Amino acid sequence: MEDYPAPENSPGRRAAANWFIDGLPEIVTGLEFAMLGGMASWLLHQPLRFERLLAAGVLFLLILLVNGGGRNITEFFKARVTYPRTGYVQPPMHAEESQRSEPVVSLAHLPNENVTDFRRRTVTVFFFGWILPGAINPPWGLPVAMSATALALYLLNRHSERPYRWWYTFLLPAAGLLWMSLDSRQGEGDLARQFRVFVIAGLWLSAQGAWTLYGYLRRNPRPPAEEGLHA
Amino acid sequence: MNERIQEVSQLDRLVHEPARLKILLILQAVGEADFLYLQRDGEFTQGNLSTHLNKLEGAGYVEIEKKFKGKVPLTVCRLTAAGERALLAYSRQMLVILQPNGNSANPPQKKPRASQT
Repeated sequence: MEDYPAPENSPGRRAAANWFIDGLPEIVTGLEFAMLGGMASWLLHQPLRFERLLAAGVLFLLILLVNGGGRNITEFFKARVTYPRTGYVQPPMHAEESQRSEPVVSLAHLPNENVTDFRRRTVTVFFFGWILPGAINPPWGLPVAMSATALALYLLNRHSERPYRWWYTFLLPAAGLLWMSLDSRQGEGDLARQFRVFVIAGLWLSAQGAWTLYGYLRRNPRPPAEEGLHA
Repeated sequence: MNERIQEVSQLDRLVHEPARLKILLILQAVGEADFLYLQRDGEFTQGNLSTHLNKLEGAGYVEIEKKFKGKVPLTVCRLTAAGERALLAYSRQMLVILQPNGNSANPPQKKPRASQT
């Protein structure tokens, strides 16, 4: 599945994995998706023109946030939580923006490995999952979409810097089935059902990030000094 | 004396020392990092890392800069252009030294696999 010959334990790959050490990227991205889905669902229920317009504006801002602004928010929290505890390393570039295919010309000129596939292999998968409920007849659209999303997340990220545990991805189809029962009671339209993928996937990602953060804070209590350089 | 053996004595000793080589390779791979990250990733003691960073900074191979992430101060180390060049020169020298035929012009190539018929 690897599209570049990166050693699993090189300094660059460790730096990329370090970005996810505290769960903050997942929390921020997950909340963005949950808000995006929730906001879009709310927008679809608004009868008044002004409220729809307002909601559409907020929705647009959230889409921008999901596309790039989330990293700044993550860094804001990392500067206060992570860097004083386990140090700062340059955040990884997005895989699609880096030049991984540079030829290796010497021992000291290696391709950039401080890159992350998070946007390509997690965020994009959520967007594909969003399409499915509209393509499959209700009430099975949501459970099928969540199952496909879970499978894709697990398989695509198995060897990435941020792999998912199989049992944790199992929660996604379970949540889809649970929501399907609610769906049949409320009888909502196709588009509203599609946006539930974002809500479920976003909450799932945030919960995972929160659990990682809890473990990280337990393992790394805050040091007394604010800053680490003694050189 | 063999040309390859002579090359050994021309190695940059500042780069050749394992701890400093580790620092340079980490910084080259990650871009920039602070003291705490380098200490954890390279498994250095505080004193050891300070000493080697001072030497590398003195030689102009590493720059140390104070910057802010939001309002939080960070002291960040990164490889300079001189450090990058020194690392490249060192790796070329090592390739020459460790080559079986000692030919510096042609770095070792992967031989095509022989057919198993």
